[in-house]
Amino acid sequence: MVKELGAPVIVCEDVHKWYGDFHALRGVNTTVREGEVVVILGPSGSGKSTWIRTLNRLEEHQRGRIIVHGTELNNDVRNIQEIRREVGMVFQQFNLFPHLTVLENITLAPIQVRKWSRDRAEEEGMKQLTRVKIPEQASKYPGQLSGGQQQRVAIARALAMQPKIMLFDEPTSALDPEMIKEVLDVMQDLANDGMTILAVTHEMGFARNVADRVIFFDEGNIVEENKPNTFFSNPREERSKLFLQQILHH
Amino acid sequence: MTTITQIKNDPALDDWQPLDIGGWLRRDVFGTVWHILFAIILVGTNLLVIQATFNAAPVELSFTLAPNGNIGTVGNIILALTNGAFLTSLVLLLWIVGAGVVIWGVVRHKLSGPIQWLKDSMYTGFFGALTTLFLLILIVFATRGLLAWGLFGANFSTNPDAVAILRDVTPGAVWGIVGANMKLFAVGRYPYDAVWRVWVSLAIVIVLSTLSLFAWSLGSPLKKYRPWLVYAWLASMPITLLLLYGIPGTDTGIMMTVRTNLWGGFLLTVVIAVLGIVLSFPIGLSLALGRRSEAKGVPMLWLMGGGIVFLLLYWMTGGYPTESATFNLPIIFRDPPLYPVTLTVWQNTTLQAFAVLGVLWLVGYYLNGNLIKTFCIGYIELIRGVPLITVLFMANVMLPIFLPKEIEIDNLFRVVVGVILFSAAYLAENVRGGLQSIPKGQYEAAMAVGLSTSQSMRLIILPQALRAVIPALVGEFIGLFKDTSLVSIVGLFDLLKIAQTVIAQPDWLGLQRETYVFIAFIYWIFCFAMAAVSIRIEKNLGVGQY
Repeated sequence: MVKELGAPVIVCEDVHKWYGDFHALRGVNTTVREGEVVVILGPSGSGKSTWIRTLNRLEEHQRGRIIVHGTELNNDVRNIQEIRREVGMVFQQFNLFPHLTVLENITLAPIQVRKWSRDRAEEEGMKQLTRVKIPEQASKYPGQLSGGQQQRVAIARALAMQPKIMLFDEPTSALDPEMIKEVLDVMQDLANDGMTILAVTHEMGFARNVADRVIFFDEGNIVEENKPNTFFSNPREERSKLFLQQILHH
Repeated sequence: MTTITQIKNDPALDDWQPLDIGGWLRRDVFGTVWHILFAIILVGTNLLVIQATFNAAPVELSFTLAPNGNIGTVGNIILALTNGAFLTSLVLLLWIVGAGVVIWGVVRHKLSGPIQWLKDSMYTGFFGALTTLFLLILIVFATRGLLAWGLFGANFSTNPDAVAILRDVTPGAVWGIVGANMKLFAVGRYPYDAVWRVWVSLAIVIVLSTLSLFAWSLGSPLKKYRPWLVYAWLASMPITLLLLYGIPGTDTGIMMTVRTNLWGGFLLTVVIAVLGIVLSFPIGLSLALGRRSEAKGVPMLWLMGGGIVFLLLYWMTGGYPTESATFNLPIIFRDPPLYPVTLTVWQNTTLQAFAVLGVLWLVGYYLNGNLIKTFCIGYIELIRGVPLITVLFMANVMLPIFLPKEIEIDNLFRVVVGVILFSAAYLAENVRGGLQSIPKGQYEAAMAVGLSTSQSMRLIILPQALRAVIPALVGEFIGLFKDTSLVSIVGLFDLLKIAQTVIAQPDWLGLQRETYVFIAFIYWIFCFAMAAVSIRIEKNLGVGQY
């Protein structure tokens, strides 16, 4: 299957980031096109999470340019707000709002940010909950759900804003093995529906089967970008080979 | 596809039942009434038991004694009801009924097996029962003396002449001092003609409190009126104050002005405490948020620009040094101790410029550009480092010095402002504790879905943070209520000060114990009520449940 990719939606030019003296991102250059599914791999501390978090300004970059959906991320708060409306994010620790019910978690941002009516927001919220296959949990509190269910609610919360791009920051790393599949299934459905997805993950199966491209990070920069099949069977760089040997060892 | 209405109508989802009115009636209305009844029965029967114990050394029942010393009709009935034989059979009956209830309960709930039943009753029940018995005996002995003094051996006559005769034969307390001075304790020197306005204010507060208590309980059908109740509370503050103060400038009629120096007693204590609690809360909240603010305050460029503008304005408005100036510098260990230095125009100009810009540079450098945060830290740490009494003295003595002579500020107003400023600093620290308990992920998630900073504070962070610190906040409010007793030092007649003046009345000399026990009881009742309400709020908000 060859996917038709659209116009570039994320453009990074020479992105640098420092934490104090530590040089976390060292000149990242890449472009993501509309509808593309990109999986970001790399050893821990390689800067992959930091990079994905700079794309909606949870982390500030200090040099270079990031253009998301035609808007440049700079210190202008209006630009940041506009980009955050169009970019959904899912976290490793779910980060649901524990004092709100599942449905309230999902409808909060559409009502407050998009200024929808409550009825419309709830309609959309239920649609997204159905999409992640847990509509029956709408009136529960996050603390009453399993980890996998919570992560699916987090995905529905991000989707309810009708984003153009979804960022996943290690969405399955905090889950029990039997719950990982339900989250990955939802992500795969999203990819099939044509959503632009950037995912930091250690799920090699997902990378192999769903991704259009694999980006391998090490020491704050992109070491290799490749088609998943080529990357896993015949990596170009020495560092990628070493990494694959280590994770595919057992 | 499942729609939202289908979900709402799904009977399996018990959470969706909108209002559990039956449960609410059971839990909150009947529950409350039943608790009160039960408490009355419990206290009553225990009093009888204690009276029986006390009968070992019989005391005359003096509370129905007429001034001539004869026992009244009610006294006779009580004597008949509390004689040894009757009491003994009553106590026995109570014990038998109690034991029966316990056994019935055990059999009903623990019938799963004889060994299990034995285990349960031996390991928890038996020692539990032993502990209960031990504690009961302790309580009986501890309260025996108090009750003997305060109730069974007490004299309740409020007639000073009668008390003068009966005081020597009264073994216990002479409560007449409280009854005869009830108006002073309640409202101080508030004029009799206007006391009805206090009653109206009280009625407003009681009605609102009762409605709120029911509206904020689980499953209440009044839930949808909660916002209106909040507005009613907000409106009740100025209305109550207007009722208490009257229309300014009118000296006669039903709404005549009652100046605050006539307010006193419990009324004054409540006014200070309520104003302090209600108004210090938003200030404390702002201080807490300010202390955690990461806003870059005033950038160095602005400071320097401001400094240059200031210098230019100063020079243009006649401050520019037009001729050389001589300064006398003090030099130590010299005679004469002054050393004259003459500066030329240029030297003087440079010195002024360097002084202004240098100070601003230092300010900008050390404040890290965040003036809001620095101000909040400074304020909180200053107030927390000073006792309340000092703040009250400052408000009372120092404030008038800073203000023009013509402006005369009401004494009560100054004290209330002092209390508010003091309590705000402590509240701020409590709220800050709550804010720090919210994980960073919550801020990130709120930002990632596109909420602005103020929206995420209002909708995500503060609801969780405040909920987490309810116990600390209520503790702070209780402390504030008790601290109002300090205002007597700056000349306000609060409950404690009124008590002191009541003791000094010639008719009732030497009755400190009765008076202080009475006001201690009043303070305790209100602090306990606050604590009880806080527990209820915590329960209804589900604190610590998820």
